[in-house]
Amino acid sequence: MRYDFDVCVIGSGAGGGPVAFSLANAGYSVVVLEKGPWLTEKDFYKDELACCLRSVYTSNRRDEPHVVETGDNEEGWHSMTTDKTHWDFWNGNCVGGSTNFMSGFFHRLKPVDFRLLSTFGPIEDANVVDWPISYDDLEPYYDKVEKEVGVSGRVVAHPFAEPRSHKNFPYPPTQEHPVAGWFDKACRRMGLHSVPTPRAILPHPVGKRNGCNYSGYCGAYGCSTGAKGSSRAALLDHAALTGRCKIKPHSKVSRLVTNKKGHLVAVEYFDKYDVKRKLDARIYVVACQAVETSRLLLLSRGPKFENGLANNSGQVGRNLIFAGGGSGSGRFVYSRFSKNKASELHQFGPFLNRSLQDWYVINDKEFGPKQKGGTIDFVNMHPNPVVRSTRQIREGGRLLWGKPLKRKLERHFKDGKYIKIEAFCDWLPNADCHVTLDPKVKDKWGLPAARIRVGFHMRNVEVGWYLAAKGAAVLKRMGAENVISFASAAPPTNLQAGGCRFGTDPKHAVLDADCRAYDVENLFVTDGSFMPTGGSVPHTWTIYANSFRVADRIIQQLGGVKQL
Amino acid sequence: MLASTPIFSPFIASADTVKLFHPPPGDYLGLSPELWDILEAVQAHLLPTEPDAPGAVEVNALPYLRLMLGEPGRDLADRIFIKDGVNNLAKLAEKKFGKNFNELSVQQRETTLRSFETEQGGSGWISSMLDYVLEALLTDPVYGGNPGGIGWRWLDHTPGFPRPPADKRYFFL
Repeated sequence: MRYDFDVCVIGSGAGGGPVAFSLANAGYSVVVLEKGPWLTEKDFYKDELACCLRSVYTSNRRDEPHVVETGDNEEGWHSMTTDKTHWDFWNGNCVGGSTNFMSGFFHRLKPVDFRLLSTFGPIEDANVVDWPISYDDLEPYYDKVEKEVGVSGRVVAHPFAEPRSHKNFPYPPTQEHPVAGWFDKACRRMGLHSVPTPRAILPHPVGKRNGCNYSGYCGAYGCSTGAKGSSRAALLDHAALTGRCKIKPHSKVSRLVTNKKGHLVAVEYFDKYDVKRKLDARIYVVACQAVETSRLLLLSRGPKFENGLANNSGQVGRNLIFAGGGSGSGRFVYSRFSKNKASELHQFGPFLNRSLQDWYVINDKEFGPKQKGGTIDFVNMHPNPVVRSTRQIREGGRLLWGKPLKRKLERHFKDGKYIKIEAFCDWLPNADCHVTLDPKVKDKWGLPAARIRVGFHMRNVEVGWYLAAKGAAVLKRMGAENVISFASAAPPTNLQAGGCRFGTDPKHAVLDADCRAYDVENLFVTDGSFMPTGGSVPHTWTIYANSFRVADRIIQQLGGVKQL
Repeated sequence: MLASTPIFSPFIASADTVKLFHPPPGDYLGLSPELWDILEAVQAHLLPTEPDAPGAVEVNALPYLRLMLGEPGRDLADRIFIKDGVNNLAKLAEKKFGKNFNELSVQQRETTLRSFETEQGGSGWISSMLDYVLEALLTDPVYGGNPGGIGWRWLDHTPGFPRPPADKRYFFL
């Protein structure tokens, strides 16, 4: 039997890129279906309107709404359609997906993250489980990501450092802001271990990708040099060059089609002109980011899958997770420092690149029994001037305008510099965090929208507060004023995972340990959906690594690397 | 009719330069010249001109607002929102002082806007106007506001690079 392609990959972000790259390099024909356009370095500029104030890189929520359900304690769940709110679950509607717009703070999971249940025991009202694989299974692929995607950094010893197969990162760290030195000094005095944050950013040109130009505008912006390790710049551009990987932008997949035996036989999609098309492949890989992956499976009913593809266990969409955590900031007022120090503060462009993992496991009797903690990243505040200025327009419950607003803007922008804390902890999987199909709301193609319930576990918030407060103490030690730290129960919608967890028991997992659907032998899921727990770091490196791992399994299933 | 008004001429742009967009005489986006004058006055009140700090006039806030509201991807509801708000504000000025908003003293404008802030929808409308003014102040000059980077200079702000050329403005992507 002839197929259009060996492998069809749906979605082109961190989950899709490694599969397309690996399979094309192994000699197989691949098609990547991406809903958005194919933007490149030539389309990315430091334009705050494009990145952050208009829906340019994300789907328009009027055309493609989500329905979000939030809890209000006693009165049950309250639902809203996202086009009428600030909620936005879209993160990157273009080739390369949201990896184009990430900051690229890259941390690996640690061995303990693969065994949360057996290490710390169960937590009431949380569906914590061990992973079906161990850190050792994933380590070679973290290593592969360092090389193929490009991770720059400097390895230092610290109490929670994870084992590595290579001593050093393949790329030296990106340029550091002088305040990183202040941070190191404060940590030394406090007995903490300052960790240089690894970044998915090239410090110098590699192949067709240029090194970072240190414009100071990185997270949320597309990279103009190719230094950022997006799935597009690092993987898909190379996959396309093999001649075996066809990338189809403007291709919105509406359904995966199964036959009477439950075998996947085709994918239906709408092209740029909303014409419905179909193609087939031997193997299908879904990687649309967690919410949309669950939605696509639920939409893909078939003779053997009345409740959605790979959902005979009823598990698809359950145990959705985000990144838990806290945040904070501190202000360094130029006039409080010597002229030299103030001029160091003033420098603009290089990265702060510092993290703390001293509380990756919290062993603090005052806080409770030994438990999982997390990572604290320290970053320069995003420079986005419009966003920052519009945050100044309220005071004392009223709007501020005229000369008082102008004086406030001057103080905010001219008198000092802000450093931010971003703390990451586990978002505990729970029965009230999930994706279903909305019975009424549809997208512009007439397909039911995802309905997302965002219930949280109070433990997330407690650990988030704890970590953020630890970070705040370091900022104070460095000389910051107006230091604040806090945690919230609101999910960061750009850091989604879960919904199709992998596991050893088909009754409680959607995917097997190789991320193959239990019910469908030619279906794999390779975005963050597989994660039963998320670790206490941003998910991206782990998604990349796991996708490379699964790609090897797919190559095996297809008969190994082809002799070309 | 708001929807059928001929609008949006961002195309008065060569590769890297943008000329300010001035609509033809008469109504534009369903707003009469008098209402546009009130919008201009509101902007000047929200971000007044000072000798050492630019105001709405210096940052081209009105042409910027026209460009943004006329942009074809813009939700019709956004235009209606601005139109309804300025109509209501004009009525409030008449009610309070028996005058056109533009004929009021600075203090009377302040009183009117503070009163409008407490009315239903008033605060949202003023904050939306503030958003547009601050965008004109601090977005890339390629969108018509912040001419020559005057807003960035005032606030010691370092822009990123590369900066967007006219043909890569967001509505063309």
